[in-house]
Amino acid sequence: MELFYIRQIIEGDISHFPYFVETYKDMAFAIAYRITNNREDAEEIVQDAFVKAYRSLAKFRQDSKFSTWLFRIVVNLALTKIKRNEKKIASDIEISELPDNMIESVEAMYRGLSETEQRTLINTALDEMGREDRLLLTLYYLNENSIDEIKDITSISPDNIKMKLHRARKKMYGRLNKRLEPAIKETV
Amino acid sequence: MENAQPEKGTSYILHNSRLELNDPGFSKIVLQKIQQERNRKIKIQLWIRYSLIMVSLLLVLLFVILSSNIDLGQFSSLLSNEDSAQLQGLFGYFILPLLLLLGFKRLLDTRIRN
Repeated sequence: MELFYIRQIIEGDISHFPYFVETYKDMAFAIAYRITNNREDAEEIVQDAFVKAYRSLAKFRQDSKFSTWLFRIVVNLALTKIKRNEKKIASDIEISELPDNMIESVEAMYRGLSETEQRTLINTALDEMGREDRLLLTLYYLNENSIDEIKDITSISPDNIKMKLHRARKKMYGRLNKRLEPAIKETV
Repeated sequence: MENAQPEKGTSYILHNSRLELNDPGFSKIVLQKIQQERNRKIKIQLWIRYSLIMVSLLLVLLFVILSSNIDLGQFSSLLSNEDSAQLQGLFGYFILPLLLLLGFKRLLDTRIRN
């Protein structure tokens, strides 16, 4: 169906374009936000990405999914934006990785929280992580992109993606553990 | 594209980090921008097309003038010479096509503006 819509849009019928906006705007926004950490910037990037996608639609080779192609545009625009805005941000805060045997206990603690608490906790944890880690986690676990798709979106090699994802996941649990530990101690 | 909440693992943890663009007018804004982009593209295409037509017409005009052996110096001689046949020739071969060309250009300009 997407290919049919794309052909129609290329031929000048833009009435199908809102389908793509409605389908992918939230995922595109999540990607842009995880890179920029700023809502307004992310929103602007997503708008520009859709316009750019429309402009270059004839160049879309259809050997990948439309979403993969769109997300690549989002990532490029977001990286350009932060390079322009960034003065000199210090490297990401050192975050310790959590050993595999503790991951389950963190998950159990996390389950005990209310949905609002969970949302605050996970977003704070992600905000404290490096932008690449946040982006990879969002693409893989949230947007459910495959390793190959992530390779197309980020231009990182599949082996590197796997390694980075593994470490990012452990860092995320480490971050969660750090925030959950005091709460657990208080209740004990 | 809303995914169901995963039951466990990292996907479960990250599910609550899902972000939404809570702007009901977002699609409309994007569509407006695309419409502007489309109009800009159409305008550029029209300009290119019409410029080519204008250049072609100018070349035709030049060819007519050159092939009809009209001496452009007739302009100055007109002031002293009252020969109406010469005036007719000048009007037919030079001024009339020029007026037609200008009229055509005006027509195209109006169309591009609209």
